[in-house]
Amino acid sequence: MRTIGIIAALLVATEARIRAAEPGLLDHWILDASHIDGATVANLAGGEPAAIAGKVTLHAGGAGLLLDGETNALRVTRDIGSVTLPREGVTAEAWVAVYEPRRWGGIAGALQDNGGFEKGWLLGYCEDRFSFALSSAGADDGDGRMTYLTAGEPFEPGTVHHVAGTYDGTQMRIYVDGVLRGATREQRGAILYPPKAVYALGIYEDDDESFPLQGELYEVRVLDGALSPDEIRARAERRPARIPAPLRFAIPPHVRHIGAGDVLIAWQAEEAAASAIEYGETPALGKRIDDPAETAAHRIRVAGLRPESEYHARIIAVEKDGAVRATPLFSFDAGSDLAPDAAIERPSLHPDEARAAARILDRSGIADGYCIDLGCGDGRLAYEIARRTRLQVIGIEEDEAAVARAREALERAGLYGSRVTLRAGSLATLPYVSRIANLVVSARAAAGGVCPTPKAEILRLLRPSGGVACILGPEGEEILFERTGPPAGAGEWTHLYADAANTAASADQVCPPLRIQWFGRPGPRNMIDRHHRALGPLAAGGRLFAVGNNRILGVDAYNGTLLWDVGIPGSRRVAAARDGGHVVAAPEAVYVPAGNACFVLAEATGEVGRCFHVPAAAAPAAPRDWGITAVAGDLLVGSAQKPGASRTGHSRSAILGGTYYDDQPIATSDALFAMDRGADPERVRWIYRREGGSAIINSAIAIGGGCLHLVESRTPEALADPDGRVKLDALVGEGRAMLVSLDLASGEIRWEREIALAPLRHVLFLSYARGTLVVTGTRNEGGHPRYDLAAFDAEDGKPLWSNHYGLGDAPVNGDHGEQDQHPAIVGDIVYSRPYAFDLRTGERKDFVLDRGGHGCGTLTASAHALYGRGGNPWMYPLAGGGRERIRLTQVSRPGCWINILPAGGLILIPEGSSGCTCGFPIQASIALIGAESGR
Amino acid sequence: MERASRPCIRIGVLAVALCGPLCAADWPMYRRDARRSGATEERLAFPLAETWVHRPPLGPRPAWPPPARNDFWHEHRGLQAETTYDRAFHVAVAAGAVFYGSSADDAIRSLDAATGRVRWTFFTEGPVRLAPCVAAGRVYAGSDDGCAYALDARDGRLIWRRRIAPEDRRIPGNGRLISIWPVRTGILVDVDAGLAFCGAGLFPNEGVHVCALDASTGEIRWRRDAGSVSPQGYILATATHLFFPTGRTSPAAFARADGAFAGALEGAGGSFAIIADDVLASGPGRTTGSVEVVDIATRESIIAFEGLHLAARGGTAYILGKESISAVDRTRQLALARERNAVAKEKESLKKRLDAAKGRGRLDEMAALARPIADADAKIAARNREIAACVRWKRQSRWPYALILTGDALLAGGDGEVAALRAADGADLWTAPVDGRAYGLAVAAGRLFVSTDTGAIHCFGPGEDAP
Repeated sequence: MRTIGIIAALLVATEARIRAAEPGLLDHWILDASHIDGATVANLAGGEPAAIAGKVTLHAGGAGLLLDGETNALRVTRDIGSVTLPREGVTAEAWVAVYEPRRWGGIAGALQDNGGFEKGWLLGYCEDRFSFALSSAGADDGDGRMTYLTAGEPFEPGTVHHVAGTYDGTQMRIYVDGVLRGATREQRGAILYPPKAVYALGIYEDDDESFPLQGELYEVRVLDGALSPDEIRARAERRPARIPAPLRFAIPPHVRHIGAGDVLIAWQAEEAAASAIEYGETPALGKRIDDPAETAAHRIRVAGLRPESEYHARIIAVEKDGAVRATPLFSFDAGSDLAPDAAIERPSLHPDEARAAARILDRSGIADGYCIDLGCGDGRLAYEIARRTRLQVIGIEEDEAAVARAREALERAGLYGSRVTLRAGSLATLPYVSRIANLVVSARAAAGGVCPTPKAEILRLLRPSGGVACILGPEGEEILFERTGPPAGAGEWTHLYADAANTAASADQVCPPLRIQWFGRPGPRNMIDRHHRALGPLAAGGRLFAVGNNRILGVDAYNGTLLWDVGIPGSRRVAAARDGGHVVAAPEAVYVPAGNACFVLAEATGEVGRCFHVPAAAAPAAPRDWGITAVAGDLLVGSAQKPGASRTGHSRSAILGGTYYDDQPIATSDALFAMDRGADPERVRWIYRREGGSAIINSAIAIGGGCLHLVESRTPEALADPDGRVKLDALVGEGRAMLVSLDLASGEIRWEREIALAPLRHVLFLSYARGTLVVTGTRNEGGHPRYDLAAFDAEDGKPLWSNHYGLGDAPVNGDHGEQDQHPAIVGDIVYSRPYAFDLRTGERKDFVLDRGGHGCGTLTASAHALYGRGGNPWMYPLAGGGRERIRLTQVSRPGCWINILPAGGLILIPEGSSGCTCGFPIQASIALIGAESGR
Repeated sequence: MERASRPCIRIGVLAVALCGPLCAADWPMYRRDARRSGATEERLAFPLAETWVHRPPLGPRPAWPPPARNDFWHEHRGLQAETTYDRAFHVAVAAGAVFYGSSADDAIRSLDAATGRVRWTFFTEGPVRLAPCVAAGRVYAGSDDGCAYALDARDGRLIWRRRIAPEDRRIPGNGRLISIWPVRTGILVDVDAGLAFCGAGLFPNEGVHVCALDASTGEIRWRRDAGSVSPQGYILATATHLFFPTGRTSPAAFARADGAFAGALEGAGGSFAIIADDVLASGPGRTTGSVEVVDIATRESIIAFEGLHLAARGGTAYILGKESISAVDRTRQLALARERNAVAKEKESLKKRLDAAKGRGRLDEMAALARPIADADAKIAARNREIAACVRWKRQSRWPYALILTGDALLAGGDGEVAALRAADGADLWTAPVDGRAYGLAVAAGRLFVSTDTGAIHCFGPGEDAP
C-alpha cells in the first residue's frame, strides 16, 4: 500500500508539472482517490481546489467521483472575481458519465441565466444531449444573451464520455468523444461574465436554479482559448487508464426474465475473469452479486427484485492482471408478463400418473401453453403434468361430483387454480375455440378406458405448427397426433416489412368474418411508447415475437401464452420510417442486433445461443454498429453503420427529433455483409463496401430474386456525415442516387445504375416483387405531402415507370405519418396509401383507401386485405376498392407503425399502444381468426 | 345542440333497496352499497388488533398488467393503473360470514368472520374477479366462465347458475381459458325488485350484454346489447339507472327498468366509481391520477382534480391522492364549479362571436365583446380561487390504495400498512401492518377486513386497549 501511495504521489507531482506546462491551462481537477483529500479536490493547474458538497463517494475503485444528483456538487468559488477565468476564448473538457438525462445539467462552468439576464458559460447537458452554453460581448442584447449549443446526438446514459466545449471568439463548438457534434457562430467577442456567480463542477447552478448531476465525474480541465479539433480528438483518444475500460463481449449481457422480480443475467466476455453484477433501483446501484469463477461465460440469477421497479445494472470484471473493466449502466424493468405460477414446484404424488406424464412429455416435447386432459378422472395425471412443466392443464370430466372431488384433492395439494383446473361437461364436443391446445392427453385412456373424444375434435383443438395429442393406453401403447405445419394459406411476417423484399404483405389467406382467438398479455409496460413508431413485431412458425423496450418476447401465436421474455440492452430502435428492419425471425432463430453484435435467440425458448458481430473488414477504420438485418436462406445479412445512426431514444425529444415531421435524417450504413447462419465460428461470405465510400440507405435494402438491391448515395455531404444519419437532400440531392444490385450468394455487383428520382425529402423505401424494384419516396408540393413512386427492372435496373400523387387532405410537416407511408405489394399491385398501382406499368387502379378514423402508422397486407390504424385497428378488404372496411376491435388501438400482422392464419395485434392515454377501454394484445377456422 | 340530443337521466331516490334492508353490521358488497359509497355509520373502537389472517394458496391474478410508466409525448410521468378491480380479493361481509371470489382458483369462498376459518368453497369454471354481493341469504357472483351464480350463503350450495353469454365459447383470455363473454361487472342485486344485474363480454365485435336476472331463479328478465360499451368493474345504481365502469374509459349508463343505453358519462377513465347524491365520481384516469366528478343528470363533467379515489359523507368529500389525503367542502366546491362552468360556457359563446366578428372585420363588435370576455375570465379565476379554498384539511399520506369511511374515522390502505385517521381533521388514530398492498377495505360488526395484493385477508377486531 505504501508503494502504491508513493507512486500515486509521484504521478500527481508529475501530472502537475505537465499540466502547468500546458499553455492556457487554468484549471485541472482529477477526481480520483489520489487527488481528493477529504472533501477537497486539488487543482493540478495551480488554481483553486474544488470543494465537494455532500457525502464523498468514490467510484470504480477510486477512479472517479460518484455524484448523487441531489446533495453532491463541487464548488471552486462562490465569487468568480477571485479566480482566473477564460476571457477571449475557452476550452472546457471533462470525462463524465451522466446517469439520467434532465432538462438542465451542469458539468463545469460559471453562469447566471435568470430570465433575460444571461452571462457566463457552462459545459453541461440538456436532456440527453451534451451542451455548451456561452454568452459573449458581441451578442450582448443589453443584459447578455446566451447560446445553448447542444450535441446533435444523444449521449448514452451511464457511459463515460469525453465531452468538450470550445469557443475561439467567433465560433462555439461541442465535441463528444472527440467528434464534433455541433457548432455555431451566434456568439462573438470576449466572454461576458456576470458580476457574481458560482464557479462549480457537477451542477448547473445560478441564483435561480440548481440542478445537480447524477453520474460519475473523472476529470475536468478548463483552458484559456480554444483547442483545435485535432487537439480535442487527441485528448479524447488518450482515455486515462484509471477510468474503467469497457468490457468486450462475445455475447453481451442480456436479461432473461424468469418471473416478476426474478431474472437471470448472462454474458460471455472475450476474456475469462471473475465477475460481478452491480445493480440497484437508482443509478447509484448499491447491490452486488459476485461470480468468482474465472470464466468467460457467466450467468447470475438476481431474485427478489421489486416487480414494479426499473433497475440499473453494470457488469464488472476483474481480469488476471488486476485490471477492472466495466460495462456502461444498462437498465431493465423487473416486471414481467410471464405467468406468475409457471414455476410452482410441487412433489410428485402419484407414481403411475407420474410415469405416464413423463412419457407423454418426453414423446411430445411440449412444456408450455395449454394442455387438455380428456376424461381427467381424479386429476392425478393433470397434476403430474403441471408439476413437470409450465403447462396450464384443463381437465374435463362428465360427472360433476367426480370433478368436485378431484378439485378438492387438487386444492389440498395446492395446485388447483391457474395451473390445473377441472370442469364438468361434454367430452364429445368441447367449448374451446380451435387451435389453442399445445398438448391433448387423456387420463381415462391411460387408466385403461377409451379416449372419450373423437379424433376430429382433438385435431380441431390442436394448435398448428407443433400441437401434439399423446393418448397413452394402459399398457404403454400410444396414439400420437401432431399438427406439424402451419394451416393452409398461412403466411409469415419475418422482417419489418413482412419479408426481406419489403413487400409488407404476408400472403396469408385469413378472411372475414373474424372472431377473437385470444387476448391478454403482453401488456404495455415493457413495450416501446407508441409515439416513437418503433420497429414492429414479427410472426413465424406459430409464434409471435413482440419487439419491446430493449426486450424481445416470444408468444404462442395461437393461444397467447407468453413463452419467454428476454431483455437485450441496446436493442431498442425507433422512428421506423427512417431506418431499416433490425429484428428478424427466421426458422428456429430470432436475430436481434444491439451495438456491434447480433444476438441469436432460439425461437422456442428465447435462449441466447450465440452472437454474430460486424466483421472487422466491414469496419476497417472505425467501430461500427450492426445496422439492418435480413435473412435469406442460410445467409444472415447485416449492415455496418456508424454508432448513433439508428435512433434509440425513448423520450419526448426522441419523438420530436426523429419520429415526427418532415425532412428528418435517415439512417445509413457504409457496408453490407453476409454471413453463414450456421457457421461457428463466424464465417463471412462477402462484404460490400465501396471504395471511396457510400451511404447505403437503411430503408432501401431489399432482397429478392437471388439478389440484394440497395439505394445508396455517393455525395460528398453524405460521405462526410459524422454519424450516419443523413438528410435526404444530402443523400439524393435533386434526385440522383445509385441503385445497386448484388448477387446474394457472392456479393458481387450485378449492375449499378444512377437513377433519377424526384428530389425526395422525407422517406425513401425500396421494395422488390416479381422482378420489379419499387422506390417510394416523399417530399412536399403545393402545401401537401407528395408521394413519388418509381419502378425498375430488377434484372438490369432499367426504369419501368414512375408515378406520383399528392395527399391533398394532409398537411405538410405532419406528425401522424402523412409523409411516411410505406407501400404494400400484393400480387401485381402496389398499394401506396391511399392509392393502388399496377406493379409492372404504374397505372393507377380503381382503389382509394378510406382509412376511417384518426391515426398514424403504415399499412400491412395479407392476400385479401390491407390493415392499418384508424383509431382502432381496421381491415380493408382488397376487393372493396378501399371503400369497404372492417373494424377489428372497437376497444383497443394498435401501435403507430406496423402492429397488425396477418400471419399463421391469424390477425395478430400485439400490444403497441404503450404510453397512449387516449380513451379506449382495453390495452392488450389481441389475436383474431377467420370464423371458419376458429369455430 | 349536443346536449339537447342527450337523454336526461332523472335522479330518483337512491337505491337503498338494492340488496335489501341493509343491516348496520353488514358490508354486503364491494364498498358496502350500490352507490359504492364505502361508508358506514358503524364506529370502530381503535386501536384494533389483528384477530386472524386468511392466506389462500394463490394470490390474485389480475386480468390486466400494469400500464406503461410514461406517456412521453404528453409528458405524463408515472401513469396510473386504471383497471384495478381485481388486484385483491375484495370481500362482502354479512351475517357473521366473509365472502370473496378468487381470480386464481376460480372459487367463491366463505370464511367465518370471527375466526377466519373456511366455511365453504364453491368452484366456478373461470376466475372470479370481483367481490360477491350478498342479499337475502344468497351469495351472488359473476365469473370469467360467462356465468352468474347464486349460492346459499349458509353452505355454498348452488341455487342457480345462468350463462349470460349467448353460447359457451371459450378462448384464451388474460392467460386463462375463459368465456369470450366473461362477467366482470360483479352482480348487483335489488331485493325489492327481485332482480340481479350484471354485464358480460368485453369486445363489442363479439357482442356485449347487460342484463337483469330474476334474483330467485336466474331467469333473464331483460338483456340488452351494450353496443360499443366494454363493461368492467363494479356496477353502480341510482333508483333509475345502472352505471357500468368500462376499464380505461369512463362509466356508461343504462336504464334500470329495461337496460336501454342512456349514454356514456364524461370522465378521465378508470374502474373506480362512486355516486354521491346527484354526481358520479370516477378515476383514477389514464394519466397520473385524477378524479372526475360528473353530473349524473346531464352526464357532463363538473370538476376534475388530482386524486385516485374518494369517499364522501354529507357535505364532505375525502380525496385520496398518491401522497396525500384531503377533506373538501364538496357542496360548496360543486356549487362553485357549476358556476364557473356556466361562466366558461358563456365565455365560449362570446369567443365564438368574437371570432365571427374578426372574420367580418367588425372592430366595433370586437371591442364590445372584449370586456365581457375579460369579465368572464375574471369570474372564472375567482371561482377557481374559491374552489381551491374549499379544502378543509390536507395531510401527507402513504396509503394510496383504498379509502373508506367508518363512523368518524377514515380508513386508508397502503403498502404493508392500514391506517385510521380522524375524519374531522385527518389526525392519526391507528396503524397496523398487513401483508401486501391494501387495495380492499371493509367494515362490519366491529371488525375491519383488509384485502391485499398477496391474497391475504386480514381481520382486525377490538384490541385490548380499546375503550
